[in-house]
Amino acid sequence: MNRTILAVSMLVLALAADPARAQSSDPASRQPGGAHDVKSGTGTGIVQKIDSNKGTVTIKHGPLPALDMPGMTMTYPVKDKAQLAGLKPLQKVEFDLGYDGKNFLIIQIK
Amino acid sequence: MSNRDRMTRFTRRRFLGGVGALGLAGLARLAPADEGHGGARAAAKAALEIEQAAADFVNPLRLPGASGLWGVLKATEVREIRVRRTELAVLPGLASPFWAYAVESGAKRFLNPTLVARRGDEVRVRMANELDQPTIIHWHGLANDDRNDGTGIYVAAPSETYDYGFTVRDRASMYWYHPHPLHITAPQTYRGLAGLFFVADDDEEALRRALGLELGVTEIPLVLQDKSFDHEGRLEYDVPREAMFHGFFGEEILVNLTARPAFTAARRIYRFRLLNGSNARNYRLAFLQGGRRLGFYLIGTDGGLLDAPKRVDQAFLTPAQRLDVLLDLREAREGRPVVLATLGFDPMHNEGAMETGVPKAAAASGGGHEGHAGGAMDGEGKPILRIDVEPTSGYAKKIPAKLSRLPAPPPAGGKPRRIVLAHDGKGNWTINGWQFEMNATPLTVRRGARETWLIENSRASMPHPMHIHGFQFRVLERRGTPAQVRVLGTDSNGLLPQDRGLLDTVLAWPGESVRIALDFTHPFPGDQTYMFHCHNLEHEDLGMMIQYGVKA
Repeated sequence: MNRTILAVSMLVLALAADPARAQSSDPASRQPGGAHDVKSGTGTGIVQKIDSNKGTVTIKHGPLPALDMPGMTMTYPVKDKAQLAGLKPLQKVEFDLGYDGKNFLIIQIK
Repeated sequence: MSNRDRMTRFTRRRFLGGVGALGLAGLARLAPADEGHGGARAAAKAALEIEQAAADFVNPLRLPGASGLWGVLKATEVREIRVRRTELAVLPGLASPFWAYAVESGAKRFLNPTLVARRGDEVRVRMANELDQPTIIHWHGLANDDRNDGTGIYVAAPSETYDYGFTVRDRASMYWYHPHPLHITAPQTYRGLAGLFFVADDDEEALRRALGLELGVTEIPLVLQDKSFDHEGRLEYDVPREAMFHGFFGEEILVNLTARPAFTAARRIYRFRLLNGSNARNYRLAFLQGGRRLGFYLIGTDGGLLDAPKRVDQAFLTPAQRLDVLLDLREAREGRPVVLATLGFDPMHNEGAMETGVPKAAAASGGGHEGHAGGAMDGEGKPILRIDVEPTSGYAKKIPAKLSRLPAPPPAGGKPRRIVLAHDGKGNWTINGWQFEMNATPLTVRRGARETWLIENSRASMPHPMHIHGFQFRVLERRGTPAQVRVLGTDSNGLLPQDRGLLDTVLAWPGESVRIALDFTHPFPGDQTYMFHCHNLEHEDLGMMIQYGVKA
């Protein structure tokens, strides 16, 4: 196993324990908090993975200009886990994403 | 935070998010391919994780039917194949631009038809190029004269046609057809151009009768291709020059152009005809159930049936190669799906980024073995197809002990011809130091000659699936085979199970030497010029290909 694969594998190990680690640990604390500096944007993308237990969805999405975000593949927590029930992998979705300067949160997804 | 800082951060997040998205299936990448030293428990755990990842495989597997995509047609009845851009919902409900071989026959329309022929049939077909770039069809594995082979030397320009006329002379097997224009084969194949070509003979028909096999029902072609999609669900192929050095590795492994596919099967013997139609990805295939690998029978290779079935529980499959296997689902337990998977292995991208001429950043990002963000790494354990087994009974057929008469390998003819695979330190892969040149034929053999070639892949290299046009061959010996592959060896010469049959493509791993036997006998008059190349299609497009002459 070469060094690059080892490094990636270790990341996989670390992140598989918590795919949303790149953001924060507790979905309840990820509410874009405070009245100031909360931005939101609407994006479209393809669902890659749904984790109902963690309340997250991984989406390959296009740019979100309102958040100054390029297109990317990313795992996000959703505000209401019930919204995950109707989603399927590889489905096209539209979603509203909030950002409070620290954390992202999907406000709505369909 | 400046825009630039923010972008840098997002790029890093994109990478992390992509790796995170691998989840449990990503963990399976860590499973040792060689299960020595107590690795069996880890292998079982990895297998269970792959099976678990197949839980959301619900899309019905696309199968060859009476028309449409993969529809079955007699090769002798096809008059014209139009090569064109069209649309196809590769992901369910999401239209994507798609390039296809389109045929109309008997008021039916076909895309990438599954052509069926019998040995001895005459094929007369016109290819009409409706693309805006040159193309040509290569009949992969069929031994034709160079004009009918589709080498890329002859092409049809846009709006032009090309007429083929050949006799099907080869053993019964599943061959395939795909584009072969110089330097643009990879994108054309990736965008959809590929179809199957079945040849039948008496042995083949006897086997189908003995097991009650029916194409598309109990004899199932499985075309494995990895693809990426943009955020609208359209096929995406964005491979810069630097990434071509590694080849394309897509986000999803499709089967018959079905993403996350499922297939419902009865408890009986199924025949799966597997083609690795990927541009660059190798697969380590196994059928999993409950954390264990089910045994299956290898019965044929690129060039048709083996003489007898060989029971195995895994096999590597390299781009362009085929495997013909029987899976007896009476051996499976009820109430739990069987999952066709690719098991984790070291993909051995051992080229050494510092010495290749490819910038390190390019070697370690999109298109490299890590794949695109969110995608499947090369060598990563992943589910491919979920097979739901129905509780049926009443099937009592047995696999025949004898399948066919496989010709013995041609006797070795003198000193082997050395073929060295390497890179030049400038981002190019080479064959004996050669790169493709339109007007060069650096290797010539005599018609009727029996030769041994020693294909030596350098240590600082990648796996190279080497394909020869015009002739099939036998593997005589493997040396320097990496441990993860060597454990599958069947004899003291290191032959893998599929090395026991006729091949047109053979994988040479980094550091490995593969000795093959070729018989350059053919019926075609005059001198012929064919191709010998790496079937990692990005490598081929970069010039890891030579012309070789067969002197009359």
